[in-house]
Amino acid sequence: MLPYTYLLLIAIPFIGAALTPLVGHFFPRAKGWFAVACAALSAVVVVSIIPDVWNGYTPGYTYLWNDAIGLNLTFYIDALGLLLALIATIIGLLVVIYSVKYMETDEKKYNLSRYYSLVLLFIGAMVCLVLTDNLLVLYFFWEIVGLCSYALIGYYYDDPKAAKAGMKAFVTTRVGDAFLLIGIIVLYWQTKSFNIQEIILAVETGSISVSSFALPGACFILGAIGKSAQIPLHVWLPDAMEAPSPISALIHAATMVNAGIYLILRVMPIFIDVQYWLLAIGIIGGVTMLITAIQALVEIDLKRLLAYSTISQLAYLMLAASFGVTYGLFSSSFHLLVHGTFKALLFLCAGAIIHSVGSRSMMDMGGLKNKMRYTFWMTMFGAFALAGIFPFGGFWSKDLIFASALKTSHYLFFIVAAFTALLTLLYTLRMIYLVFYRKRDDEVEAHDPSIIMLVPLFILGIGALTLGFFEHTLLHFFTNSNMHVEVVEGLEYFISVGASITIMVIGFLIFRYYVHNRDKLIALSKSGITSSLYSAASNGFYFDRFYLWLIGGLLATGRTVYHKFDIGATDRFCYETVAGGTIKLGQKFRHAQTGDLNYNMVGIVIGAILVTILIFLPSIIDFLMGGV
Amino acid sequence: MTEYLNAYTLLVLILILIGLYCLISKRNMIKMIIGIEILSKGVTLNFIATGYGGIAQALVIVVIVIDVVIVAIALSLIVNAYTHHGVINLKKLKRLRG
Amino acid sequence: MASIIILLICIPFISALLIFIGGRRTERDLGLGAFIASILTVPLLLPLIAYVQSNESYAFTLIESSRYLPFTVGFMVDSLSLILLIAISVLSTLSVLYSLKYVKALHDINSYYSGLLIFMGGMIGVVLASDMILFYLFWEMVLVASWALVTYWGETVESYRIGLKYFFFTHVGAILILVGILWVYSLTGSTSMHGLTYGSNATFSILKTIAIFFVIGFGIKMAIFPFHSWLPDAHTVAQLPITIMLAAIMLSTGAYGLMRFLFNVLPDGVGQSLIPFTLILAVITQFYGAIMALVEKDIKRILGYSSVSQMGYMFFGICSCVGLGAGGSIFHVINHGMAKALLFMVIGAVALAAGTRNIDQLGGLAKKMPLTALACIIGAFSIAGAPPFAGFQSEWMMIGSGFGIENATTLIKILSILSVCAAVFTTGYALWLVKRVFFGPSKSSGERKEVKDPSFCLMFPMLILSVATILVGIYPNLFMPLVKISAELLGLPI
Repeated sequence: MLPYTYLLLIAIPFIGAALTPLVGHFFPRAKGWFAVACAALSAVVVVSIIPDVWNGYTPGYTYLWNDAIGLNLTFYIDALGLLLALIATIIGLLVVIYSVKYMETDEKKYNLSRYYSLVLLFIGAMVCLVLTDNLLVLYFFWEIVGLCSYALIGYYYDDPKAAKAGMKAFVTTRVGDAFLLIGIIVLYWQTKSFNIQEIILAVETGSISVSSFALPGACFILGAIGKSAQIPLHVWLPDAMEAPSPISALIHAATMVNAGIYLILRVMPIFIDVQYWLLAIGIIGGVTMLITAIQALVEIDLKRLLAYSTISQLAYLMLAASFGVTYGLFSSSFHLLVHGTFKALLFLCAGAIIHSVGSRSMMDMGGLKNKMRYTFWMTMFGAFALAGIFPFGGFWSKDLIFASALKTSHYLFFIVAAFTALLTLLYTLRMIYLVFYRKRDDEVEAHDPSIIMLVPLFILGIGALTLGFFEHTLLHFFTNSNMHVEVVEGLEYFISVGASITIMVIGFLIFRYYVHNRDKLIALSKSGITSSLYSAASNGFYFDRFYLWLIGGLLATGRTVYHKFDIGATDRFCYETVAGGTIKLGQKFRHAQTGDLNYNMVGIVIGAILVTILIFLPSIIDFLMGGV
Repeated sequence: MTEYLNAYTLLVLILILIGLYCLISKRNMIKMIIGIEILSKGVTLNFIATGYGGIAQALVIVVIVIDVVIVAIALSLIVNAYTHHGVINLKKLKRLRG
Repeated sequence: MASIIILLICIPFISALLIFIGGRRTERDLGLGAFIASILTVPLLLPLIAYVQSNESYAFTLIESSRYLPFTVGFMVDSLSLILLIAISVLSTLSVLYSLKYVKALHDINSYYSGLLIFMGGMIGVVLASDMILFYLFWEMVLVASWALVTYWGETVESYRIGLKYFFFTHVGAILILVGILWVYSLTGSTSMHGLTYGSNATFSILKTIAIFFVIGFGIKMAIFPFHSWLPDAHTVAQLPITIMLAAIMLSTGAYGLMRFLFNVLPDGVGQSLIPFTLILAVITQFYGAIMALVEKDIKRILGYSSVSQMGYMFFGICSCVGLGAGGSIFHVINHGMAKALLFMVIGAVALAAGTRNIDQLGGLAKKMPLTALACIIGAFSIAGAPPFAGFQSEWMMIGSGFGIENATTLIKILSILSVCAAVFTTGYALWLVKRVFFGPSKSSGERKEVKDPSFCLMFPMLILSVATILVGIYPNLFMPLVKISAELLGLPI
């Protein structure tokens, strides 16, 4: 661990983010490399913490920040947080390197300082998010990464689709964030603490009862599904693909979307005894992975396909998390690492392809195998890892999830996960086929990217290939860090491997059928009951339409209320009843002011009579009473 | 309240009522002046009927003098109105307004 | 200390008089004088800040009550009034600075400036007065000055009608407050705002009734549903610097008054007894303002409704009677003031450049007005309560306070959850505003030649507010000690 690690963790990316515009102003060509340097320094700082954690030490430190309300920047670094921080900084570094070349063409039209500044801000915020122990600080950075995501999705701000997607992403995740905030605050009022470890300790020693944790528990789940794009808050992620591809790789595949899963894993010891808490997570994961895998099957936009795939894979992490601390936590974290690597790889490859072809639709691609040789191989690496083919990373991590499902007797979840694995294999193969193998009548111009872009691809490709073998290393890392996790071995593991291989075989057979009968299948998708299923899947199962209907209804109601209340009631009351009524009343009395002497005299006489009566009233009453 | 009820008071009341009736019902300005006169004579009579001694008498004389002045001014106004507009009817005079 | 307080109150009024007289004598625009007068109040705050942080509060009496003066002319400064003072001085100064360029072609410009200074001086008086009647006098002075500014320098002919509405609403509120003040006087025999002792004839139901008077009276000033409808109209029709004063500061004086009267003047426990009723109003206000802001087309009205919604947050924080909420509301005075002033300045620059305020005719301005767009994003995110901007620091405190109410019923819990959910709508309208004005393809109005970042005089206040918004967002300790002391003074420790 370096001296001043905690300070450096915060300072490097944030100061880098602040300085990038300045550097960009004075040395326009250097700003990319400046960002690379900052990202690299961050990565070094994070890597330097590994030995400490490996040796069973959990570094902790507190900066007093806003002591009055307990908002203190407390660091608590264990294996889980450090793993996420490593993913964020290392993939972040690779993505920034990639961007130097990839974003070059945008220099003229869009200010690249903004881009690099936001990426550095994102990396810094992500690292702080996963290393802090204070829930409120976590929320603080949780929102900042969302903010970066918003700004980077809308990076091409004059593109209405991008502007809309950015807004949609932020508002949709904000729904989850609002609930997360509720969860944090309710937890605070119940435990009088924002510190996760303190709360865990209190729960474990039984000094607070978990019976009242149902509300915060549900809120934390909602917060997580917003950030990790799970049903029903998943609609923002496919649209977020309007961001530049490196951003999709970094934020929307490898890091930020994992924050929700991380949160679930992090607070799991607090809520583990809350009834149905784990089950709810599992159900959300199971439903999400199936639905989005089907959507990925029919998607023709390359990046949107990868986005659906990401949602589906994140759902695996959710599902794995529902297996509890002992088996779930590790299998989820392991798949998180592997998925982050290969999905970043796939997005960077997709970026290279899109950059070269000039379109995101897979219908405009095809037969690229020989034109983009390196990219092709790297995509294959990523795709095999995604599909879970031996010996790529996905094979090992998915097997571990299957085995954990069996070990913890979640047989239904096992079936869902296995079936989704089949769908995953199918959409991956379809993607490979459409992009690289499909014969086209016309030629597509394409070429491999420059070496600067290829280096990150190679590094990630090696990761996708080999990470699976480091399962036990990671396990040690976790157990050394005082986490009570195990991997499944024995019968369940062999069943899972068998299942994986069966899936692989079935998948390839189905795919063979698909390639040979593609025209027939396309015709099928346009007729009968399959067509409605097809259109449902390609319309995202109408989630978007439902939300639009909801928002439209809300706005219409708002307009009605405005006309009925603000204009109809209040303004009418103000102008007609009060002002108009006063005028009308005045008009009534105006007749008294005619200047007609006779008329006035009547008034005088009546007045005089009234006054006389009033004066003599007591006497009259006395007289009458006395008479009685 | 019986102590107020005597012949003078009755006469005062009758005079006042006649004066008021005259002011309410008559449109002719000369007749209205007569109404005012009757009214003020009622008031004067009231003074004499209820008040004894020098102060009341002095006041009554003052009231009568002022009455005369009022009548004189009012009549001059009426004459002016008549010379300008040719009417002494209040209702018609009102229509000329503005 | 006393001389500083007297200076603080006198500077705006005397300079208003001088500018008015000077304006009659010469034809020159004396805006610069108004600016100097308003900026003079800022350095005067520094000794007050130093004093309050170490000694909590300072009070003094200028004139004792006597046969000829039925109330005491006395002032008091503590951390709560100091926070308001900072907001008033700084934001008024910036709004005068913004006026220098923005309202050049106005008729009777010098009367306008003197009105502005009276407006400002009145608010300073409101937060410094330590006597309820004196408070009421300043309160009405603010009302009259702002009414004149809205009406006589309104942007459209509508201003006379809307000025009437504004006056009608807020004056009814002021009368309710006066009734409450006199009622308190009848129970305590004193018009002081501090250290009142209630006799045995002050039963709880009477105190509760008085509290309702105060809540509604100040609620009208804060534009709480259903008394909100004056606000969007008045904000829209007033000249932009006036709108800034109204939205960013004057509404907050309502919050200040509510806190003072509910927690300092009335005994403990009265505010708590109103809880479901006040919280329901607060939550309705939050949602109502946010949804209306989504529906509106005029960008100034959108921000007007946004103020309604934000006041709903502050009302929620205050009426929850929890230290966290009261502290959040006090802090939000600063944060909301900065963000709202910033947004209104942005909107002014946009309207000036693009020639329209209709959101359907705007779009894609980020290309030509990059700094304005950045300022707008900062303001919007701060309003939406997103870190690292200042709004976050106070917003979570306010909306989180609902969960801290002791012995909460299910209704209160649901209201608390709803009040957090309102943040989603806030985000929705804030970002939608940014998107529709600055992003996407540029519309015809954006093609005009004038469309570019405004000149220094307009840009400078925006710059200051943007930086301050971020600074407070990442370093809340700038204000938190004051906020904490204020909450303790209100009897609601955080």
